Amino acid sequence: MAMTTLQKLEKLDRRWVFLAMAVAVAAPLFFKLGLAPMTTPPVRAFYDYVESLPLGSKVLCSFDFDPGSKAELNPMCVSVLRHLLRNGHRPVVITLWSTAPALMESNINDICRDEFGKQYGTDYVYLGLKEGREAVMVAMGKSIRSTFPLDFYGTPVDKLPLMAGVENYSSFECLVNVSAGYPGTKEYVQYVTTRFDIPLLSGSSAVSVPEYSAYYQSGQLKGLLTGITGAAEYEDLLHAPGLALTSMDGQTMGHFVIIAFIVFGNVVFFLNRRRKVRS
Amino acid sequence: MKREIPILITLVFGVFMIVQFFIPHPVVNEIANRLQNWAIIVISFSYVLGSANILRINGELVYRRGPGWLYKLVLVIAFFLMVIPGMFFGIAEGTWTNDYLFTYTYVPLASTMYASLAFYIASAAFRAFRSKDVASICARGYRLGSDAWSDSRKPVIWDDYRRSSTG
Repeated sequence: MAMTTLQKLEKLDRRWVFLAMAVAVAAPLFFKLGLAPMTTPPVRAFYDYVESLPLGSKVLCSFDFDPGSKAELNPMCVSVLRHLLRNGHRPVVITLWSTAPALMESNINDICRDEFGKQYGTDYVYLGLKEGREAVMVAMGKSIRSTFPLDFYGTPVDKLPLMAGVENYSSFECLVNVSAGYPGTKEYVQYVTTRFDIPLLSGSSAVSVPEYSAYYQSGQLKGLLTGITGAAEYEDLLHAPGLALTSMDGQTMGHFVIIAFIVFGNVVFFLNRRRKVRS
Repeated sequence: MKREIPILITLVFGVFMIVQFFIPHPVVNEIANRLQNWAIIVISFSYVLGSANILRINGELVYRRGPGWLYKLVLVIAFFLMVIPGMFFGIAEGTWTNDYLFTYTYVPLASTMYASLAFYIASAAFRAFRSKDVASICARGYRLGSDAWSDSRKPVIWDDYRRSSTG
């Protein structure tokens, strides 16, 4: 009887695994664990770089992700905007992903307009989407005004006070890129940072981190936020707990479930194998 | 020739864009700028081509009642449902397209697709990550142990943090 149970456990219906994962991820919504990670050096470097910018700096923000990555990357965008505005800087936001413009508009309105009460056109600008990937990145190095002649709302950039004197990357103190893949941080490193001499700060989804860590270690990135954990660390540094810190509970529980199933699967596998050898 | 000519054009312009980087001459720069603008326009037109392709392939399958034609029909309807209101009402916050079609429909659907990975990862971990010998047990044990060790030094509790930060 016990052997039959072991065999059944080895071929456990995957719907039980799904159920366990669902419970593990959903439970922290009701019972908060309050987990938050300690700050890692790339996140500290990101934070310190923004802190070191002179008051009133113009910062070009390229937020490039789709709704699929919203849960992981949107908290970074919100924190970056919050950090820049809190320190008196002036973000100019663009996006190179066709599914991002509406997401970014919502962030910008929530943070810049509603939370900080900033004036559009003077304190922040949203230029919207320009399709063309690397070609747009390089074109902005020649002229941002001709690459983005109108902002997201159709206003000519010449009529926006913040854009006065903005010509190309040299008009900005740094570039912040939050990206879920192509085009994103890798392309900015390849085509923009060295060629146009602009410091780059990056926030990326966790799967991209092994690739981007090399850029951080070589100094091509001045700071790196890594997935929802990096966003949580950044929120922690900003003393502004948000969605990333809340998500840490669910993510941690999810990881525990995966580890538990790996251990469980191995134990059952070995018990079954021993039974087969004996019989 | 249908293959060779596009490849030749790509080769010529590609080589020119590499070479122009090393020639800081105004005329060469001007040509390069113009080519970059062409590239942006061509990439933008790829959206039109892609849309036409989606309609052609899926529309034909729906018309012929091919395999999975109902799904294709849903795709075509969803395509027009997103494109037409988007063209007429815009995508700015407060518009019907943004609020109902994008924020309340597309965003949750896309997020759900991505989130479902967690379930498949858990299932795959249970089935596939089985150690067959002592070496793999050691490797896996080391991996889990080192992760657990590094994680055990990381967590802090929000409430503790808040207490310490508020003094």
